[in-house]
Amino acid sequence: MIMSPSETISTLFDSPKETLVRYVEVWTPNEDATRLTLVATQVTGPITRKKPKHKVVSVAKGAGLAGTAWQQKAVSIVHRDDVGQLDRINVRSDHDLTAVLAIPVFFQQEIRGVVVIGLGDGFGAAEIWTRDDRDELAVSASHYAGLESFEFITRYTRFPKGAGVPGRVWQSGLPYLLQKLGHSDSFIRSFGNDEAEIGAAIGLPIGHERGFPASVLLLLSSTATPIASLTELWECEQSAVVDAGMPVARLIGVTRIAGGSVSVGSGSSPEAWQSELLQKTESAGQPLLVTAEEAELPTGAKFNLSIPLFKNDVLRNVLNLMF
Amino acid sequence: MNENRYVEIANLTKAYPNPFGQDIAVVKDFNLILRKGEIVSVIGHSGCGKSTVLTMLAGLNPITSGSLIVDGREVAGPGPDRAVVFQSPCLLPWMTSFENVMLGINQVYSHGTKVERKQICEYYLSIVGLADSMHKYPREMSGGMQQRVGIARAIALKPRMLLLDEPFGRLDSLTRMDLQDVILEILDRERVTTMLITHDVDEAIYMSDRVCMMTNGPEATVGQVLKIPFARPRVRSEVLDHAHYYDFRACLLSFLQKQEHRKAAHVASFSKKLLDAPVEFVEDTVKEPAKEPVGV
Ligand SMILES: Nc1ncnc2c1ncn2[C@@H]1O[C@H](COP(=O)(O)OP(=O)(O)OP(=O)(O)O)[C@@H](O)[C@H]1O
Ligand SMILES: [Mg+2]
Repeated sequence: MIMSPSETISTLFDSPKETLVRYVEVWTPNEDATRLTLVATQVTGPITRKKPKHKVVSVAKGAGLAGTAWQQKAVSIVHRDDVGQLDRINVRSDHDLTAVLAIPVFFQQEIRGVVVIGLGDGFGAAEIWTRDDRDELAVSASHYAGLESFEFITRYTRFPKGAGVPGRVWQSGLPYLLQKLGHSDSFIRSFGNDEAEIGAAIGLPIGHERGFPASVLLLLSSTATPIASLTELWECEQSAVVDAGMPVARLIGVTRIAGGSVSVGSGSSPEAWQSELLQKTESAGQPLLVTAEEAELPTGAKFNLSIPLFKNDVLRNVLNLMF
Repeated sequence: MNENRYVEIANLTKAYPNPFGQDIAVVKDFNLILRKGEIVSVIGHSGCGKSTVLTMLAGLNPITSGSLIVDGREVAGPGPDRAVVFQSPCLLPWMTSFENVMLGINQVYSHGTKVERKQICEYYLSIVGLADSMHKYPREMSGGMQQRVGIARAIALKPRMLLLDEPFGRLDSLTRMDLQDVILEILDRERVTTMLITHDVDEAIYMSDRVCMMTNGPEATVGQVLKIPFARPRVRSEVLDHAHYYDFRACLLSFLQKQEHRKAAHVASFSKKLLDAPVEFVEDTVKEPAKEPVGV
């Protein structure tokens, strides 16, 4: 077994906590990469889905939220008041969503898909960190659920290269998942008194610019309303095994947020569902949304979103959000 | 010259050999950029490496790796362009305050006439409040007065950069506040780029444009940088009354508190490493906060 006692996972979906992510869409490019097509949608928790207006929804580069993220090679955020204007968001009550993010996924300069996630009420945050005029990272766009003092201090917070989760992701070009422990080696950010809410942070490199990520997306997960029921960041390696002339990615490390606690594992025998999802994500080379009917998932899980993260031309990580 | 990157500290690393002869990085990959005229405080627990960073910047302590650039020039040793003030002013005991300050001025203004140099010296001694004590010897002055001489001596060099290592550390709180204002007044006028090391979070907030929070060593580095947005010149009572003063303060204090825990956890995990057989899986949710072991 690759990591923690599987009981954590087997009971995880029995009475799942409400998650911050309430809505997920995956858009993938057509064959000549001129348009993005909405290929999958899922809702979590209490949101019910509207009847889709059109059978096939697709956008050109620069059009709509997904097309904007593609064109700008950056995460786009739409805030509460403007969510209603996103007529593509197929939810009945737009007010259930407090923000919508579009996250572009690239393989080198090539668009491989856009993941759209809708966030609801609770505790948590999404922040986009970009370089300022003195090569430090500052938040350029953000959404906060609760966390007023966190938001306030963040406005005045900067991370030089290598510092904090954003600085680390920026320096390494690799995603990073970190649990906040008061007494841990690592910490997310100091902001004062009511620090209890934030449990973990996930930093994702977005785009490339002179050898470094163009920006860093930071998702802050709370114990009260975690980002997802189960979050796993996988570290992969190109194994020596060759399948049809191609090296196959092998799972070498997992960092997991489950029920508010984070565990870290490494080993060589992943669970069956992990192997299957990795194989599927790798061969698609695209973000992938699968339901329990379509793939083997831990008992009780409804669906899983896999986001492949490439560095140079190699699949180095997969971020999985399971609901 | 790029005013936005007037001082550039990149991947600065300092290693010292430990008792077993292994090189241990006290400071590792420290990155910080200072704007021209900016005052940046550095806070962090005792022994984390603040003075190490400052003395490297002063050119008094060789770097192990990385780079240090001040105004476009790589730091390659001490120089009058970077004036340093330590906790104790290190005045020459057989010279008066005037003579002590003159010592530096003679080096830097070697082209000026004797009268000009005398005027410069008197000017700086008077702005630190020593107009009446120019001809006193260090033994005739209090610690605070001696530190004023040290400050006058540093500023009189017209440095590109001022490096202050706990300059008020030994002073009572009234003298401390007095000297904080003396320095702020000078800096508001002369726009000298300044690094100030302090253990006092209130001093950090009042004095600086940014506070650099250093993590604990070994391998200490920048943990987080906090911008202090209060306009200059600052009035102490206005700063203290500012609606967000206590938010900034809480942020700095909670950083230091976390580093305290980190230190304890570090020691705990180190002894765990020694005791435990290799484990495949580590559950990271520690049940009980690690306590600072006695005698460590
Ligand atoms: N010459 C040296 N040889 C070996 N270790 C040293 C040497 N000088 C300093 N150190 C170590 O480097 C670390 C950082 O020291 P430094 O004086 O920079 O800390 P500091 O943050 O200024 O502490 P304080 O707040 O107490 O002044 C300490 O652990 C110290 O023991
Ligand atoms: Mg020191």
